[in-house]
Amino acid sequence: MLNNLMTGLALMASVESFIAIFIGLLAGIIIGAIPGLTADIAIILCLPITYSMEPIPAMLLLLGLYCGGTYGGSITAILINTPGTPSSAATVLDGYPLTQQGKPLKALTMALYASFFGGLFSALALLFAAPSIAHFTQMFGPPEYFCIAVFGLSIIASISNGNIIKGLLGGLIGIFIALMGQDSVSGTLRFTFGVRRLGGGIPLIVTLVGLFAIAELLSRADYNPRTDATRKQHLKLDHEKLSWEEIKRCLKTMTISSLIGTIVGAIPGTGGGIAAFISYDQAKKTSKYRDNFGHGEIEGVSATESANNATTGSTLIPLTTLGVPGDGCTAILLGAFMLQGMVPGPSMFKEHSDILYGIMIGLVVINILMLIIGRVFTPLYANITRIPYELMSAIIIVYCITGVYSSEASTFQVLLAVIIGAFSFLLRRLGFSVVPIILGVVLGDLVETNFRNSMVMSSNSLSIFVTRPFSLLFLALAALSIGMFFYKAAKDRKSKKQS
Amino acid sequence: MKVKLNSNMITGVLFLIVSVALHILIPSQIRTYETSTVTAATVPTLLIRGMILCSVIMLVQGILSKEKTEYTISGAIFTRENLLRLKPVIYIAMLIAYALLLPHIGFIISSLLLSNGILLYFGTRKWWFYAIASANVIVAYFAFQAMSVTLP
Amino acid sequence: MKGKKLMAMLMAGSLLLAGLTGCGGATAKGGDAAAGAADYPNGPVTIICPWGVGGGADVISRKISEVAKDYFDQPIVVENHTGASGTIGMMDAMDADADGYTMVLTNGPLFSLTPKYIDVSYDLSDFTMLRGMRQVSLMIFTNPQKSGMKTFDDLINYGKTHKITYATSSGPGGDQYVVSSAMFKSLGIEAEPVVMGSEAESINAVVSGQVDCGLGTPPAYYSHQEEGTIQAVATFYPETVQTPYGEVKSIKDWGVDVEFAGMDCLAVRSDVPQEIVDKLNAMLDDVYADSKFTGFMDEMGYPLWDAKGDEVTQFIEDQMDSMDKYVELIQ
Repeated sequence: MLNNLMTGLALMASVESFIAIFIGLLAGIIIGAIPGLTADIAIILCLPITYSMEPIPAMLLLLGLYCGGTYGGSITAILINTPGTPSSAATVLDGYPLTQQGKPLKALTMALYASFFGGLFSALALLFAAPSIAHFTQMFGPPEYFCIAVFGLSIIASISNGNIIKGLLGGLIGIFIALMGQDSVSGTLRFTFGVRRLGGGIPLIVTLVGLFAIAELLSRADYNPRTDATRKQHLKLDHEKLSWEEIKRCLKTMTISSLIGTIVGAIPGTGGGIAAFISYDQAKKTSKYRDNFGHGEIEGVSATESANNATTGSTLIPLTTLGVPGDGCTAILLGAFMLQGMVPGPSMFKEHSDILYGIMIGLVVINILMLIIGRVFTPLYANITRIPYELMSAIIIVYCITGVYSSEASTFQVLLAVIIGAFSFLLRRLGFSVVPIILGVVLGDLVETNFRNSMVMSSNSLSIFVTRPFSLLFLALAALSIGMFFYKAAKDRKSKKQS
Repeated sequence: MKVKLNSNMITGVLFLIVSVALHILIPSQIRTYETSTVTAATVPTLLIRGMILCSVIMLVQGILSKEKTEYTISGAIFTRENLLRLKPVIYIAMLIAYALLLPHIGFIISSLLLSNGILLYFGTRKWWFYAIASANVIVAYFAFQAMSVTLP
Repeated sequence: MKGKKLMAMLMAGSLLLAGLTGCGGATAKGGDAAAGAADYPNGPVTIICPWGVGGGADVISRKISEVAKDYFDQPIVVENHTGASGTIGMMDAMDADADGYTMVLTNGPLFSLTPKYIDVSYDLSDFTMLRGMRQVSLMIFTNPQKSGMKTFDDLINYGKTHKITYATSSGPGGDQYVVSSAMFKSLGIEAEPVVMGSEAESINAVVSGQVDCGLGTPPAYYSHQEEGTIQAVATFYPETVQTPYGEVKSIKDWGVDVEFAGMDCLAVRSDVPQEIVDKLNAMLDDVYADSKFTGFMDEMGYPLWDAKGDEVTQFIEDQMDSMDKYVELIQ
């Protein structure tokens, strides 16, 4: 082990590697922060650059994009209520309220520390525990995946701000959006209304840009630069820094969220978004400050951001040990590994162990450098909130569109994002929260595919979900999550009556 | 004529119509060749029925709720205030026009129109805002060009 | 104040309208589209890959684009237009101008099978095949450690008394599903597919014992075979296939009249001028002769299929006949 670490470190510690990491992180953070551009797109765009590079710098460049992008998504989530990437969708819940209270700096700093913490946790888990974690998640089959997805959906109860039916309806709409297009099991086209492009389904990024970015632009469309109150006061930016006390009280949340993120990330087919939601829900239920969640609670930011970055290392666990990518990004990294002449799978640790250790140590370095770069730039981008809204609107829309376009090189996706944006704007006006919708979108395919495959495995018997230990566990967690919601609602009603 | 409405009632009615329509469309929109019990239509059918159920509950909630706003339907609905509330519709129309024009007139021209259109929409009179927004379009174009994404 | 704002809004609207009418006719496309065959290529050439980034065919085409830098004056860019079993990418290739600046990565089933299930607006005559890329032998594999099944006979015997669940990466309308259903049907075995998102997941489902057997192609499962968690027991390829872990016999040896040989190839629209097709073929000749490319194929374990255009077309035509037969059999 020590031997491996030393050779890996020696291979990794080159000028090229550090340049690659630096460029990757910087580009990743910027791309991640721009709504419409995600780490996936960044990696696809940079893939051709890596063809002629050495394996370690090449992979570190891409991993820098991956980690930087996952962290960068939180910046716009906090500042303008628009998550830059799907992983940061849950960060808007508490991050944006903090900005509204004039504390963007505090939220951004917390997001950076939490991302660093989660990322490092995950990188170390990859370095030291990859085989055992892989062994653990390999026990999971379609029934377990289905139950995890159900557990994920049960979170709707705690994030739907009061009206649970509206939250539920939102979740169903989200799943419906995810199911449009080609069915991944039978290949049947569903709800494509004769539109060829819909046969490919609605890409997640298009939904995200429509639901959040465009709808946010629309919902401020009645903004008037001359009468805007915040403009007159020159939006007092609170320079209140994140205190050591606050970091200390979030430490427990960050550790648990990182653990959740690491495990969820190691399960193929999931990703940072789901991990962030589960951690948020968990933190909300156990925190001393649970009533402040959703109103700008720093602990909420720490939970989501540590969880989503904790998937960055662990999604590589099934990739390097089994050859199965942990999420969309790592599916692209799989191709990158192959172009470097390495086939991800069980033999990778044997055949390319020195390169692999170099890459894994590089991932640790990436997270440390991310903290440093973030420290330098956080005070800078906190000022984004000072940009007059009308100008911001005109600038952001361009990037939303280019991002959506570049994901499939198709103008149809742009139209689709606009339509979803208008629809989401209408829903907001009707008092919907869009967060349950994005949760449904993220989980929709997972729920359906694994339900159907479980039914095949059990010859159409639902008992398969309760006879396997882990699926039963996740179902129990889902039941607990919903049960706690109703218990709390009943208690609140009682206390209201008494007062 | 006077009607009492609240958001739950509107939502309930709206989604009841949409989900019933979707339910009717299932056979024509999902043509599956599968013979098994659980097919490509199973989950969407359950899902849409769930949506119908939620809409009905919401409608009932809305009707039972006491929090309602009274609307008077008459010629007076077209007041200046009400029309101003429709302002976002102009924004939406600009975006849709943009998305439709994009394949025909190309990225640079259409984005310049849109960015400056948004600034006009907000009634900005600072000329340098227009300059920044226009420069941004050009920057975005070349940044993507550099990453070998050719925008239309 | 309000009047001015209204004016501004009106202006925004009229500007947009001006854009609609004034610039409607102009196209912003570069001049390269109109240029003739003589100065081809004078702009980047795109390969449309109808499948996602990171798949076998995608990786090989990216390798081609990398090696081609030495032989082709312009960059070759791989774009992934995914969805609807690959038909979206195919139809995008049809929509592109027939100027030779768009190649498409395709395979047999996109002509022989998918059009039976998804409405498409192309057929074989719309494309000129340029070159074969790789040949793929579809394998059936079991997990000897979990199920104890080591040979195809073991699987058949098990199937006589049990319903088999197997992992594939395509459902009805996909090649793996159709040929495997036809095989199980002609063996008289009841089997149901568990459709996984990718081949890697199919392999993993077998390795972890979630299903009885699975379908997949070399070299994806090799490292598991080395671990002993995967055993390739038979192949759909019409002949015996040699692998680093011994030979795998064709299911024809068990009297099953089903065969399938997968392949990937490069094509352009058939109305691309012959001169340009020749230039592209010359570029591919150079790439296929370069040891950087052949060495990569060897190292990855992809069998290179250096078939010329006509041979590829003939191959697809043959496959169309047999697919018709299988689809009829399983209905």
